[in-house]
Amino acid sequence: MSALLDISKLSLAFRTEKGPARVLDMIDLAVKPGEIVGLVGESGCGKTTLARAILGTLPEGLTEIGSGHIRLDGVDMLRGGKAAESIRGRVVTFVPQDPFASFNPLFRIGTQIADLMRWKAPRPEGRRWGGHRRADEDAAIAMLDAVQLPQPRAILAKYPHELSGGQRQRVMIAMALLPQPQLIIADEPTTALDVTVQAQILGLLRRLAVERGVSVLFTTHDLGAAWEICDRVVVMYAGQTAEIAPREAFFANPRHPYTRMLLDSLPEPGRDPVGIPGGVPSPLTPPGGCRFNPRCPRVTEICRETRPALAEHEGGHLVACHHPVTADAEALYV
Amino acid sequence: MSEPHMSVPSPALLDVSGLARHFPVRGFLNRRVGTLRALDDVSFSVRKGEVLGIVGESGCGKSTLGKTLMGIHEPTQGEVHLAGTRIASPGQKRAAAVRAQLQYVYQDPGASLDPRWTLRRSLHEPLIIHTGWSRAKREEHVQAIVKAVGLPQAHLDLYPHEISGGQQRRVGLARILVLGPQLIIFDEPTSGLDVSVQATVLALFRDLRREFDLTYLFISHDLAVVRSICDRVVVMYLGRIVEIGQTAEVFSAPRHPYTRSLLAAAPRIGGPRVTENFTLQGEPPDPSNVPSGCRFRTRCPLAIQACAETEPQVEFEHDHGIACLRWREQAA
Repeated sequence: MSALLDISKLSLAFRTEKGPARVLDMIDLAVKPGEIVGLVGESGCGKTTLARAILGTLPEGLTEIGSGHIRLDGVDMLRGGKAAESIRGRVVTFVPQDPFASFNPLFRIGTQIADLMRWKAPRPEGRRWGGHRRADEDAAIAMLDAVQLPQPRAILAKYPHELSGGQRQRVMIAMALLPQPQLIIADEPTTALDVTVQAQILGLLRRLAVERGVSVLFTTHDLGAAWEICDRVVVMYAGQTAEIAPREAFFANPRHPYTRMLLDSLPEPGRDPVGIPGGVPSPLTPPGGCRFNPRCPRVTEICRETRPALAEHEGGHLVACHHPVTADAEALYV
Repeated sequence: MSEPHMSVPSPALLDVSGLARHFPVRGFLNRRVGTLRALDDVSFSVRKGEVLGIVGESGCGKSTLGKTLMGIHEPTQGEVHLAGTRIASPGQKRAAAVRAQLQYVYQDPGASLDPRWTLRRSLHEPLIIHTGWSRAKREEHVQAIVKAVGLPQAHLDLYPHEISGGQQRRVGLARILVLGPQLIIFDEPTSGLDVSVQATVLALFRDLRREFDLTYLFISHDLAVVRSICDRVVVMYLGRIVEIGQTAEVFSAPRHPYTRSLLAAAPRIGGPRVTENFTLQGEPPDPSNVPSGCRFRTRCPLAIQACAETEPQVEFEHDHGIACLRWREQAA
């Protein structure tokens, strides 16, 4: 099956007063149709920048595209111009992190959904204006019902502040699904929510995506949420792809030292969590070679000189490391 | 991790009984239109040297509880005793000496440093206010504390922007420790942190507790963190305690239906996907309009008619308390 989203060798920098900030460095990523891919990493590792690059919403004057391409459904999203414009919001939609800040507080939910549908929802008759209001409203109500919002008609007449956080995120998911996209980019959709609501929203997102065959690119720093929802997990570190693996292999048998340490940082009963000393390097002055080398316990000379290539191990498990952790290796620390 | 609990129970350092805090809800022309019952009939005690976790979803009153204990809010009903002395009750004005014994740590303690003060000045300030010590004595004390939190002495002459965020957090904690508090209330100290940073922060909390013989009240919504650091845990829902007990016991055998749902909702790596059979629906109701009887009954899978009529009290079996009308029949 060919990939729906294909990112290869993507490098990207922002112009700043202190020189270029190399935020993404040779990123490789592919999302197949109907697949849920988790994009995991600490804050400042470039998750959100990558999501915005795919959507084509990076600040134009400030972004320098070094190399590589992003192809979504065959269209180049970085240099696509009009073609990319027609894809954004239709083939690819977005669920934001903060459902509190993503609605216009002055308009009713119904108005905001109608605006979205006027521009982005598929029109069977090919007409853009008039005659659609009824059909749009029915479609919106059906979708609000699908995201399990009680009394969808009453929700349409409400203002955003009258809804709770979980309800707002449900409306956001409904709005992301209405244009019948092939890919949804969900940028930390549950970090602002409580655990019981998070469980409901993650379950909903996964079920709807699977039912409709929609792919989801799910960025998160919560490894538990990634375990819940993903088919495949991609780990980013400081703008580089560190590891790509199917869900089970990723959690049971992480190969990259960074991934291993990230998993060992999770608090668990019966053992003290181990942190990762140091911090994510500044994109203005990234270390040479593998960007994780200043914090890595397995570092050697080659790590400082050469950037490790993303190499396949077994069963679609890709690791970019000169000294990957083998399955039976001892723990990295004592 | 946890200390053995079997030893002789130490006396209660903090004793909270029947604590309530209500806020007026005001409508048109500032007229009182209702009451937000943020905290209702909350009783528990914290033993010396233990870490008590307070968990619950947003709006359950856990921060209000912390702030009421701290004296930021005055209780509407009930009393708080610290080491035998009453420190809060309706209408009581708090003595300044209590403030030195009880400290409150916000989400990012480093953010409360004054950017225009050197770290030395920030660390001396609480001592100037609360003690009559000479400058030399204060300096000696500050240096000892700075060493204990793992900061180099040379940092004392720097300004907050010159050190990293993690070091700022350490200075913030040092500032809290200089007064030699007995009880520290942490309010969501790890939310918004990456797991790699969170692990080091938790280890620091743990070391400081051992070194300074501290007692912690740990308010958090993160169950995994609470499980790893707390000896006992209080689960709150809409301003009331629903379950209280030893952390290991509450997590391994939760008895209140809310605690069960809360634990079931947290993803477990390696376990089955919880989202596939998660049953709890909806969100907590508005705290200004709480349901009659048991406050959880509107979402509870076990709710019966009696739940709407009787407000369940916390019933204890050994030291595991549950506020549910049906827990005995469920346990049987």
